[in-house]
Amino acid sequence: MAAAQAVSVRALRGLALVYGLILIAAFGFTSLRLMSPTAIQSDVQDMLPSNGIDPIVRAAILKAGLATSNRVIFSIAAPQPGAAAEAAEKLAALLKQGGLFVEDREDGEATARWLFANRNELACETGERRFGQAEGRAVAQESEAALYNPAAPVTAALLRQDPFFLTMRLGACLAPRPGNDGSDGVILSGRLTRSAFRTDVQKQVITAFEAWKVAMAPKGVTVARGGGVFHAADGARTAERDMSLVGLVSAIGIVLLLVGVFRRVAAIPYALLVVFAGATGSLAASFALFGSIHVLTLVFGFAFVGITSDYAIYYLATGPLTGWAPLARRRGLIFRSVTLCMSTSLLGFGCLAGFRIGVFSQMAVFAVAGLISAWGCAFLLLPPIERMPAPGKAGRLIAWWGRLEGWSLGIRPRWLTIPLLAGSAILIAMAIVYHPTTDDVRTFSRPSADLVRDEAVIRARTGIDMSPDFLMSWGADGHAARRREASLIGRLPPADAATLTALSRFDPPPERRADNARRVHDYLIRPFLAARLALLGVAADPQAAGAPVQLPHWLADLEGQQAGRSFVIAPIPQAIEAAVRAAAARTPDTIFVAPAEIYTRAFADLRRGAATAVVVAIGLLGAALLLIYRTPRALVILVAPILGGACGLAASLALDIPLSFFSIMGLFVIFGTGVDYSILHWEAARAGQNGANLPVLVTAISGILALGMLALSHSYPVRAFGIVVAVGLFVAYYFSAGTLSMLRGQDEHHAH
Amino acid sequence: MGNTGRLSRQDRALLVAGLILLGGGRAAAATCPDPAAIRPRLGAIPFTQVRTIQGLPRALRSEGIARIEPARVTWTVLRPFATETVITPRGITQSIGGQAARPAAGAALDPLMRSSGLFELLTGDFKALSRFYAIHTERTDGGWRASLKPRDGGMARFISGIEIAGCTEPGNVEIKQANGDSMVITWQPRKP
Repeated sequence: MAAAQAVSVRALRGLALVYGLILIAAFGFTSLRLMSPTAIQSDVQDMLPSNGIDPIVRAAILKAGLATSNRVIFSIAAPQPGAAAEAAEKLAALLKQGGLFVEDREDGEATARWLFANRNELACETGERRFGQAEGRAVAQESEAALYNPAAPVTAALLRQDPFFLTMRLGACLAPRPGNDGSDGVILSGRLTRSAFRTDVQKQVITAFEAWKVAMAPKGVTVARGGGVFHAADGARTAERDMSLVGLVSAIGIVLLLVGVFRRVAAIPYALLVVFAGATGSLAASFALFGSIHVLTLVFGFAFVGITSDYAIYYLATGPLTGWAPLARRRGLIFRSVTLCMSTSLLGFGCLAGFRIGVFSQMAVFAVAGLISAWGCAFLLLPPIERMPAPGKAGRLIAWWGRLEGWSLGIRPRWLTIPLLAGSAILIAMAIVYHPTTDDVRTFSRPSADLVRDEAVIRARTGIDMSPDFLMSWGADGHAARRREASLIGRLPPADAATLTALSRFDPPPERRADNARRVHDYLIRPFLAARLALLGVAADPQAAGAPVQLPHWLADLEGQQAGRSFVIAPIPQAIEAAVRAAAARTPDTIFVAPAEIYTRAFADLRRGAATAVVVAIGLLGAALLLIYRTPRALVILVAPILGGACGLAASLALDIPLSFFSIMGLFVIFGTGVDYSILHWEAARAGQNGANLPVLVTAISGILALGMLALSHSYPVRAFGIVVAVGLFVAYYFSAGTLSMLRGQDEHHAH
Repeated sequence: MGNTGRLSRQDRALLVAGLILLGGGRAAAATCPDPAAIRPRLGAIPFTQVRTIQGLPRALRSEGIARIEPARVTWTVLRPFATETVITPRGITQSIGGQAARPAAGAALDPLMRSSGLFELLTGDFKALSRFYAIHTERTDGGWRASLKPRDGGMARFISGIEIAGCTEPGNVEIKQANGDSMVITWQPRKP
């Protein structure tokens, strides 16, 4: 027996050593990874489910999102002449450091080269309208007038190759150009060369912009800015503030709780050790599997990890409960019950991976790895390093613990159980009858008022619309996709079509190119070239083929491939949205895409799917309980968390927060954690032990402090989640012992 | 030969005439006000425009009438064919053969044109021109000559300099482009 115990002690020490080494390695790996600028991502598109949306639509949304989110635009004004232009040059120079920013002017040169190289095969006319006799005569006249126009930029080289200024004509009708309201402001616009959702990119842009603003302020320079990078940075700042606030409140609350309950400051580092182990395991596993972590995973994830302090609390509670008995006895007291709790929590959080959403898969890995690591720390590292209190102090702590245990029973009077049950039932019934839901992603986060105002200024000054909506056309290959797009554009009124930046207008399918070239030759070159060359006194062959030119970068970004199909996208200004929707309804293989609508439908599907997953999780938990305890009475363990979940949702509705996918997510925490409370009471009752109530109460309070504080978040989804969890955990705690003691009372009655 | 120490009657006459002319010229220069102080020209003014494009064997010549008003310049070309270009501080439109006015070729460069001071150039508004150009003025025998260099970096890529000569009102304009092309606008006498 002694030998077996010695082997067991040696085995545990060996395991502890291995675990410690793994933890150190994980910490080193995580630290290195966190130093990378790409460690944390904030792209909201990572929340888009990978199923439920046509893959080609998803690919198009991602492409369109990148194309629009990387755009930045500044409208700069100044009281002194020339000061706005000078300020714009300085801002451009700052942004271009490190090759981060490319001005539209530079893209404009690439576009001009493209238009020049393809000038004989492109046309301003769309749909059934074609370059004909009237257009040819008009081009000839206008170009001759341009020769004498003091404002027209004419060179000999241009005249030899493009004597009718087709390039300029195409630039005027095809290329997007900022308008102006007649003010003397300057527009600086362009694109970022790296994703606007990277934190390092946001930091570089914001730092440069703020420094420039400060330097320009004495000159009276004012600016309005727009672009996805500013919204992303604002969102990241809000999330950081939330994490800081939630983290601070949680940390202070948990510290006070631990010191108040255990009356030992040492309880804090012991609990922190387990939390640290949980966080390290979470981060290491997430980085190893995904390479980077979404900021939303961090916000939720660290809240999950706060639950891991429960394992430290359960172990530390065995001290005063057993009078600091030998480690083996203390471990043995809680090993089975805590391991069962961990297993059911893994089952609950692990279900998140079933949604096939990038960020939720991350959360599942984050939570599961964190729970396992914290459990390992609580049983392998914490026991050998815990310092026993001095004998005199130990006595006082045991007495204090006993007083608290008595008090904790008092705050849950049995007489309150029935009224609380009744009240919960009424709330739940109301919630079943009246359960407003919201899935509109536009309500999930409010854009900064400053940014909204700036974008309105830019729209008024330039006419530039930063709408994320777009037209998508697809086909077997790029030519087919362009044909579809051109077909739809042909259905639009010419004035609407003229506002569209569409790839098919810059790079038409081959048959359209051939037709355009023939018409330019027949209606312009053949009748008018001789006279033009005579006027200029030069020889020229304007239709001679030149060196091929690559499609400009910003145009190439308008096409893609997915699932064996090619697609092209065209940003749609809000002003012509209705016309494009109507035309898309009549044109096959085209669709008007409003990403917000797609996301909203997806989240509605997610909400319904998540609710189903909760029911499945309850079923799995029930099956697990039956398997473990082999008695149907074990199912009473589920009563408290079910009541907690229902009351959490009802409380959310009572606070005028409609149910959403994020409310349902809170149920996972309640079932993952709340069921622990009932399991601990059940196990204590099986073992004939008392004293389970206080540790359960302490862990419930710490869970509410860790997760319920998310109700303070500025982000609607996080706030909804926090409220459901805070109320749900309290109710789950309240009824966890009540339902079991009712069951025990029934048993006593039967025994008599 | 005559007395070499004394001027002949003819020489004296020439000297006096020269002095008169010289004195008169100086007197004329002294009566030409500073360009910044003169008022922009207004009214209908005939012009000749000669555009020299490097690489073309002959210059492009046009004639017409410029109607200059406080807020717009209507540049009507009569020869070689009729076009009407309306230039304002805000933009440029063109009408050909009496058709409806449309943005002129190069209108896509409107933001650049707005920093060219074209309107101010044609009206000779030196005060306003100083917003767009650094102006250096020097006195000449006939009056003054102003040399303009673009302040805007983008405009400087196209225009290397502008020369305007005048006296009591802005005179001929020579626009030198960075690629070697040039354009000379010569104002013709107004018809009585």
